[in-house]
Amino acid sequence: MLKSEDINSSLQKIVLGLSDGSSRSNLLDRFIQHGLPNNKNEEYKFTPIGQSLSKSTDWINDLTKQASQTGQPEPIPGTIPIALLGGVPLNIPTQLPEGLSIYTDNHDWSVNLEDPFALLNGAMRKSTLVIKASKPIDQVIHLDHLPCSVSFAGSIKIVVLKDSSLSIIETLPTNGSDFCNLSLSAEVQESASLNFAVQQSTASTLNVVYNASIRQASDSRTETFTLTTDGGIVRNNFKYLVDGESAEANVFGLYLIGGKTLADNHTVVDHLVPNANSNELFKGIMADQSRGIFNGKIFVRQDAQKTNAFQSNRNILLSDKATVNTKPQLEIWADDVKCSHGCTTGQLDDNAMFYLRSRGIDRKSAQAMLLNAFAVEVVERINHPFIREWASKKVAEKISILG
Amino acid sequence: MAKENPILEEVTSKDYEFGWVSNIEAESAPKGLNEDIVRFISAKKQEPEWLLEWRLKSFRHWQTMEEPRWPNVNYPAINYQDIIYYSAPKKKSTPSSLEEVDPELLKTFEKLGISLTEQKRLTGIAVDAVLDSVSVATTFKEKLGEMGIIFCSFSEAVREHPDLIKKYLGSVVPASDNYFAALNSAVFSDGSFCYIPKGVRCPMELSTYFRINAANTGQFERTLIVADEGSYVSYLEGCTAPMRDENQLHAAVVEIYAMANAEVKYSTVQNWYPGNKEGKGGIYNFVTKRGLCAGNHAKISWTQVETGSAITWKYPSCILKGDHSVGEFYSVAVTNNLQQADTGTKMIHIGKNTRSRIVSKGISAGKSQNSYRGQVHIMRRAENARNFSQCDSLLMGDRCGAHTFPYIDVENPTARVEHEATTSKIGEDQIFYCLQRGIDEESAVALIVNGYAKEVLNQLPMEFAVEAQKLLALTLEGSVG
Repeated sequence: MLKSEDINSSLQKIVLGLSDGSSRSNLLDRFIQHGLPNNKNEEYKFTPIGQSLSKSTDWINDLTKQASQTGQPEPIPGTIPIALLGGVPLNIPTQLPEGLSIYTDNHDWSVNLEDPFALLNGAMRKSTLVIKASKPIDQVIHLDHLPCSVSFAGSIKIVVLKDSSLSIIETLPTNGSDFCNLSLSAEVQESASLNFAVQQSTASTLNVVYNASIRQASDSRTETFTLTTDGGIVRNNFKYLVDGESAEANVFGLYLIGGKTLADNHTVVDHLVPNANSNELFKGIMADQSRGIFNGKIFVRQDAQKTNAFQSNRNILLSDKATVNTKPQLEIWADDVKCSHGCTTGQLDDNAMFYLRSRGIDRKSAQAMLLNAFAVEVVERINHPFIREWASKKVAEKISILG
Repeated sequence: MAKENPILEEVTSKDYEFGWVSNIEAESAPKGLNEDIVRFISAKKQEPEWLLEWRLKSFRHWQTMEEPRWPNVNYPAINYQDIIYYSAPKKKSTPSSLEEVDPELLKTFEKLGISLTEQKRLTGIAVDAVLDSVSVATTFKEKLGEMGIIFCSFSEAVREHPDLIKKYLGSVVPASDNYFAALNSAVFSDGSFCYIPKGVRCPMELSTYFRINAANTGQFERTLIVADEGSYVSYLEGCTAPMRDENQLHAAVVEIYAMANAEVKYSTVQNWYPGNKEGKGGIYNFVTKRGLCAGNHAKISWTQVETGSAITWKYPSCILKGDHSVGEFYSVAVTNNLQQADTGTKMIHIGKNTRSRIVSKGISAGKSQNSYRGQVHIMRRAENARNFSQCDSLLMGDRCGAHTFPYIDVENPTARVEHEATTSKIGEDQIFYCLQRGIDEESAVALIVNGYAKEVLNQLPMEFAVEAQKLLALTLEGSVG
């Protein structure tokens, strides 16, 4: 275990040599105040990402060095593909649909100040990829993070202007080592809509932290889907600020994990104004020695009367070495609201299993069938047809391995 | 209905009704806390050497600990040197029977509706009454003694049954468990002890009544219940305190040890002084309650109605160690004005086929904050464990808050854990329906709240259920309209 001073000084050394070092070290100082989280930190109680990063400074990379590509892009057919290496886009298509603009911003210092990794991301990212829609964009954008030789920080900013719409699929590097620190900030303006899906399927040697913050104006609609299937420690912090009346946030997620993967989903849905809705559904299947963590916070502020906020979390453990830690947290300061949350942990229904077996289906296929049915409930909630189809394919692939 | 109305009206128009002070001569320790005070308390109680050592060890451990800050409550820092840790009603000699007890004392308990003499004759409840920190009278002792049941004050148990105390004290809540348990272990002055022998079904409800009387004192009592194999006991606890401007600390410990096939039912109606409408004064109720189902098929059931205290912070828990053991938790927590409550339970499943059930009903009114915090932990070897939790919140007004923090940790794939929570308010249509039938708004609220909490109130013994219903109405008085 390294001392926090050693980590801090090697971070400072990298940042100070850069031309924009003062802006970076501003964020880095705030990170240092937090430090890497340990198990005393309630938010990172079960997630030893801080301990894992304290083992060496290998994940701290010189930002001036060029990262090398260790795998090929895997574009999803029918999308606008953008390959990213070390968080930086390799190619931005010149022919974009009308109303869509994509560019990099080297002077974006906005971060979520509450999370240490978001601060670290701000200090250590090379640039921010900005995607802006001023009209409804039909074609899906695919952000394809290529396998990369070094640890990196990446940042994406999405702006969906009034009455526009945008849909994005992001895939994390399928291979890599050490640490990948990503951030997403999205602003969804009045009557706009955003569909966003991220697939987190990486090598067990790679730890991932993903910080997302989504702000919604009135009459806007968002739909996000996180699919975590492989990796070392994968931590998601998704925060939704429901800041406009009649806005709707749909928050979906699946974690289908085996091996020693740890998948941790922390979500915050913060209702700031009246008459808005949120639906949240997260499901998890844990095999082998994996650990699934879910912490879903719903805040309904004093003025947010007539809010409808629903949350559900369901888990299946497949092995006696797997663990699930869940905490559906509801905090309400307004009285005229409809809020509920539910949470279950269990196993496959014996009767259903028996039914399938008695019809000549072998154990493995029967289990896969039932697990698929369990997971598909989340996928079916996705409204965007292209993303739904892509997601159901990915889920089926993973379940055939798990079952 | 017509019959019930005047009762509700009567209770809803009242303020805190137990706010008087009795003029009982008391003997106190000097303010402050150090090893000498611990020695002083131990000497006062004429305790054996091993217990003094235990206290001192707890005290030394407490000094190394930090006051926890994680609960969802706010209060100014407590000055632990400004508290009197021992206050006892002065008495000339130990009373050998109820007739010899200071009449002023008996009057105090009569005012509370706990007439010790009358109860002895009329009802079937054995009472151990604790004033400030000292047990003043225990009724029905002889009758229980015939069956081998030991029910007495803690200090008496230390004298008469040192082996039992030595064996079970701290076996469920170790002295080093948490900050307030360590403090209690160092300075506890009295409490109740109860032992039910093998195969005995206790024929009556056992009850402890706590009262803080003296000013500036903290109350630190300790209850220890040991249920031997195949026994059954139902235990009640009630508490009140005078109205005072300052905050008083109540840090109690309750330990339940249930052996194979034993069943213990523990009910609390907590009505410490909640402070006034501006949040001045009131009791800080920081209590550690825990039961251990040590043997197979043991069962522990907690029922609580929490209406008082400026701050309530407690988690009556069950450690389900024995196979097939069962833990239950039923709670109604009401907060009004500026009260704060952070309460819930822990169900730790260790044994196979263990089951637990949690029903928590929170009611927040005024500017109060009400939190449910609970943990269900299914350990690796707890095959076929089963848990069901339900925690509902009812909000009255838009200046209060309801919070839910359920922790669910499952390490065994055969476990089935379910948790559900809802938030609601009293519907205008419900009130309208009552008004139409001539029930005024305040009574209607009391009626609806009682219906909402019925699932929990049903678990209380008869006598307590009536008191609890009245208390609910009283606490919520003035919270609508």
